[in-house]
Amino acid sequence: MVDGLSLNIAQILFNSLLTGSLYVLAAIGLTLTYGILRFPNVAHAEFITFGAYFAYTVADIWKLGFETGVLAAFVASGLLGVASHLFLFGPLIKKGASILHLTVASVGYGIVLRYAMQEIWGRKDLYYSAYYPGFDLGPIRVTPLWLSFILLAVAVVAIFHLLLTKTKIGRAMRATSNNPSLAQASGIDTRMIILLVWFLGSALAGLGGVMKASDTRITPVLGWDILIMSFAAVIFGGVGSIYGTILAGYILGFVENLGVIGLVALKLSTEYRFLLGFLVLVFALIFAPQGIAGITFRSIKRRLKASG
Amino acid sequence: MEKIRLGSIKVSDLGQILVTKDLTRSFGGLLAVNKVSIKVDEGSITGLIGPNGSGKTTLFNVISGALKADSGEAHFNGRRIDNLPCHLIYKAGLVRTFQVPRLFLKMTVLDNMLVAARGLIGDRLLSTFFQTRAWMKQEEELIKKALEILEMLDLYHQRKNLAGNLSGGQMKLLELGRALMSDPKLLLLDEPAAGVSPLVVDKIFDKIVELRKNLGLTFFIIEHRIETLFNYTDKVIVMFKGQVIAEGRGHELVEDPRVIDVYLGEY
Amino acid sequence: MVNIENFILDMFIYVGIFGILSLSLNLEYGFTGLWNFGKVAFYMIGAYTSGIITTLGYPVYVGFAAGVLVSGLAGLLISLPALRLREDYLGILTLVFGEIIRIILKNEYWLGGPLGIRGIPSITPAGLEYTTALVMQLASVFAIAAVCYLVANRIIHSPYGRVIRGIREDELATASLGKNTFRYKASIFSISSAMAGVAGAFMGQYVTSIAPDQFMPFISFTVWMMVMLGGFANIEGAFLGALIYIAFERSARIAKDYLLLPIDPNNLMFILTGLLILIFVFFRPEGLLGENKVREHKGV
Repeated sequence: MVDGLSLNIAQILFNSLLTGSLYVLAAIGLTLTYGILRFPNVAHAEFITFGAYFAYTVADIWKLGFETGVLAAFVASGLLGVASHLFLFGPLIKKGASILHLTVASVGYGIVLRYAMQEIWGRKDLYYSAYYPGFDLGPIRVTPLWLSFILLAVAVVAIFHLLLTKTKIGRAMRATSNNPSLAQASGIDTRMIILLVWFLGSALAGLGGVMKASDTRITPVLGWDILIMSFAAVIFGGVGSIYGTILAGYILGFVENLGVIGLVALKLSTEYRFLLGFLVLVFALIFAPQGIAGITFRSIKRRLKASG
Repeated sequence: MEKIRLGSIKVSDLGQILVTKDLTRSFGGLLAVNKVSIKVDEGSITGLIGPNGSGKTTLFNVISGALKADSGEAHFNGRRIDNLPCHLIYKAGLVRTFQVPRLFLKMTVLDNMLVAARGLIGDRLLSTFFQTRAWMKQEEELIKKALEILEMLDLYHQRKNLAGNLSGGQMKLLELGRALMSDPKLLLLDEPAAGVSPLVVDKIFDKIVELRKNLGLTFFIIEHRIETLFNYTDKVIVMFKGQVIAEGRGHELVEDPRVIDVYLGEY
Repeated sequence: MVNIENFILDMFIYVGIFGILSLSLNLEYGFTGLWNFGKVAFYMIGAYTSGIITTLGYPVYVGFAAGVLVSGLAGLLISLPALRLREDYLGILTLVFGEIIRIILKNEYWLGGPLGIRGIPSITPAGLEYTTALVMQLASVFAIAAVCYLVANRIIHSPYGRVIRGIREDELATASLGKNTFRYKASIFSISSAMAGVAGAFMGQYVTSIAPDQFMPFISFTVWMMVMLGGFANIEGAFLGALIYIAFERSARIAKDYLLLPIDPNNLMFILTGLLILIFVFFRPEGLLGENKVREHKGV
């Protein structure tokens, strides 16, 4: 596909959409909990991994089919997220734990989860038995799985948009994400919203795990491998901003896939494509800590000011 | 109110230790400090008064370097300070205290004082190892000085106590004491007697007058008690909604219709 | 069957190495309030610098010196953009920094590539009986640790130490008292990175071959756990935490040979470690030992 300077732009765009969708699924939950509870949840990586493993059990051990596995992974990861808040983070917050302690707790919790999963599923690579042969859609090579996941991610984005703008719960979520204490003072049941956020976020993370694992394989470090890119999407997009994270996720997907072309042209290792995303994260941390959401907001304000 | 034209500030405007010109700072769309031009005479006790939200603390923040001004200038002792970071302004001799004392609660009263000293040899990491005798000797001298100041503020007996264990009034006095450690020339005190009993209020202000007399210090004080301003200040500047609306002697201002207007809402 | 002597010696050597790492993190977080989640980066830089230099033929002390200098310099360079960041962002940045270094080392073959650097000469002469060599290594790491301890001790009981504690508690107040807080943060970060570098240099010559995948973020997390266990802002606690963690880890390794458990002891060990951290966060968030008491001033 890539030979010297011959570029299949369509394929690059498609791959970017695919990678971006993965990052979006993985990062939405992270940005929500980081935004509302103000700590980076390192254990989020394990929610991603858990989804992949749980789907495997349902699909290939209980032999209920891949689709069922995906659905089960969604629900189970969501419940895991809720349990994490009910039994760990919630009580710690109530005790007045500092942000650092919550972060360290998430590190310890992540270790417990990862090695528990390793105990249950072992360390060897696992593969889904479901196989969907690829075919050519015009100039692009695709598989039904990839298409489904991209459609799934797009559907998730659309649903979130509708949820946030048209429903009462969605507006409550936005209020809580913006200013939790103010939201609570205005009568919103922030406790329920937070649990809902944990459910949705972790469920989507689990979906992302299935997505990545179906493309490569299931390993105990599956989630960890994409955690930093997830943080990149969160911070580059703007912590707490769903729209920002979505946009950032797709931009990062594009940067990574386009970057591969550049790297090959420069005769550098293609492993460096992740570095590109990391560099975007570093750039965002230092120069644009408010992320895309912050920049957009500021430029809108400027335009408003200019127009009087 | 005098209008000061650009470039016409004389570096040694006789006896004016602090001069600002059109100092402006906004947050979002809100002009917290709006073209504020003031002069504080050397050796004076000048008051700054105004209802809540009039920008007094923000003005202090901008002058002391905790916040950067959006535009305008500030000159201290003939030197331009509005573009300096706060630690350099401190080193130049301009010190501010906070309305809610920002003490190091987990450190002792004495250690709080010692952190505030200027020109510590032991401040640099390398000096910590290679100039040990020098900084140890300086420590002894600084301790002596700190204890003297504590004695003067009736805090000597608390010197080994954690700052967090002090009473409200004692904390205010410690804030003041810390500010004195660096031999400042101008002190910006943000409500130095807020939230303390009337007896302690008088004590604090008596100390301020004493310090002005004995050490020639200048004080620029945010205070909202009018009686206090009458008794202790040479001049009062009145702020409202980010702007200076009046200045003069305490008893003059009470008759000033602009000032009365502004406070009608308050009281 | 495990040789008990060598097992214990090896264990304490790692306590020394990780004690130094924990001490360096304690200086940064415990005393200054800096969230460094990328300790492994400076550990790695020290190990690689010393490893490369010594495998090129230079004597070990040159390698160590270079390791200390390069990692200290790296710390200084990173602090320029990093230390102005909000605390949690600093944590993320340091974490990413470590991964960037690791990926570069893994993909640049002239720096060793995925197989890393092999045949790093050790400080103990060849042909020495194994246990004796271990004793020498242990003595060396403890000597280095003692130096680091004395350095840390001097720092925390000095005026400089007072200022960094002020920065930890209230940075704006400290700046308002005339301290260039950035300079303090940068200098403590550099010296801590240099300490991590010497630990890395020592480890490199101890295990004689190092590879990028030995330096995963998990090591940074492990150091955090050790600091948490021993106690924040306690320089003895750094070594205590390292001891507890490593002793725990090693017992699990032996358990495999001597106990029949329904769970793989390796997994169990990590699960228990994670649980231990959670227990500490809940019930003893300041760690086992409280903060080091500041020395009282003479004659006050």
